Amino acid sequence: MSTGPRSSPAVSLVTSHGRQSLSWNGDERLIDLLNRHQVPWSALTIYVVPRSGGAPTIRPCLDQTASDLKDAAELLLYFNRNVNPFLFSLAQAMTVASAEPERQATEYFYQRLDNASSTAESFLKKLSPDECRSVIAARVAETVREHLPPNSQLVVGVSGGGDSNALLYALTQLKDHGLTVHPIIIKGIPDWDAGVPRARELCETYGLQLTVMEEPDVKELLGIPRDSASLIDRFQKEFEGDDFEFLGTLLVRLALFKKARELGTRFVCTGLNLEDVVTEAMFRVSTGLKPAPFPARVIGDMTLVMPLWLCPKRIIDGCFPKYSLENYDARYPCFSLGRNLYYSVVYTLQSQYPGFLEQMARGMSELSLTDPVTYSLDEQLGFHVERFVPFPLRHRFQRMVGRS
Amino acid sequence: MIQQKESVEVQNNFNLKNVSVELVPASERRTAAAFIAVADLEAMRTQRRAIPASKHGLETICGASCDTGAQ
Repeated sequence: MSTGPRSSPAVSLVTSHGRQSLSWNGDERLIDLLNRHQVPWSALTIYVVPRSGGAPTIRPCLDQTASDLKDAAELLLYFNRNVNPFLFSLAQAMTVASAEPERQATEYFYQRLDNASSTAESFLKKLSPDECRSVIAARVAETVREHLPPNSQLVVGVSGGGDSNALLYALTQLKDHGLTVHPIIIKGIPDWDAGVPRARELCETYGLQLTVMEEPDVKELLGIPRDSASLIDRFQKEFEGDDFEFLGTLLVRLALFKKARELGTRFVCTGLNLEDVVTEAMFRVSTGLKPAPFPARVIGDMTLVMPLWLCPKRIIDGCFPKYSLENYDARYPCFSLGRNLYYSVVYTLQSQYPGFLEQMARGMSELSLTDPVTYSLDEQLGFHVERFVPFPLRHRFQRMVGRS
Repeated sequence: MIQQKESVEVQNNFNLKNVSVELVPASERRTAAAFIAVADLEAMRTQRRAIPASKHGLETICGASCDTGAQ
């Protein structure tokens, strides 16, 4: 019995835009073959043409190899919609010539979509650190000019990693808006603490005075006794298997607000980037919630601005590659299924359809800023929330901070 | 005259499913180089107008039952 390539059934991808033969590779399953050619399995209805003759019959066989399908002369993979999903393929991307080929730090796929001719062209651009910095500075300047009045005092949350470096760089390049930048870093968990020396170095570079909030002060933001168990221990005890980032984002916000009140300003910002804002919006829309306002979000008497909202992480990381690497080396794994899901969906979209994430971000931003979601002060918790906090969750949170 | 030409095109398009094409690049990847400034690439990325569902934006008229043309 022959099991070599000659005995493999032919595989034809049939679309209303044309038909193409695909070849099996060794003992791969049909799903592997589809993945190798970036053919979406959910868009197909599969028919088998029998070797014995007769009409093609429908067959669920994604998990089968060529040798499992000995009775098949041909597999017909029919696209079940008349679109051409390969229109946006990156396989034909052109590489954009680089002025400084020896100084490339990152790369990004760009796509030109032309509705008039119904065409898409893809370009792979290698970017030097200088090019990345000019890109980020331009995007940050646009957002600051649009969402912050001239001569504002801005409290900036930093971590000492690549994002905050790029953000501080971009903010300090903006010379004609009268912006005063007040960087702040908070301590309390090892990866935050590890960023402090880098944040100090950065702020010195930019001539900025860094505020360092020590763990006891961070605890006080939530009313936790100063000399009690650490933040991370409290969190892990009460919310085992969850990710500290959720509490972290609250603590950073409360710290920024506190500093802003001390300075008499209402403007704060953090380094949320393109993938971050779209992931949040995708989560919200897919769970029946309106996108929360971005890139400027009013929370109580404060406005949280997201100057990096149109900046992809790939380009941010190219600004100061050394700092990005150090930041990646100080990371905890994320275990929350939802956070993994929403980020993974967004990275897949961005990787398959570069440029579409920006369209999504801009569209969802418009939606979010029209009749925006509001936040109200929860007297019991001591900070602003958007929606009803179920009693059991509220109780656990209060137990964590030691107030129940 | 024009109508006749269009009907030939429609007929040709209908038969495309039987025409052998390379939708998925099966062999060599294109290595062509392009010359585009970073600012132009960034404009392409962040300032492009949203693509309408229909080439001519017909969803504005016909879309109450489905903006993206499912019948």
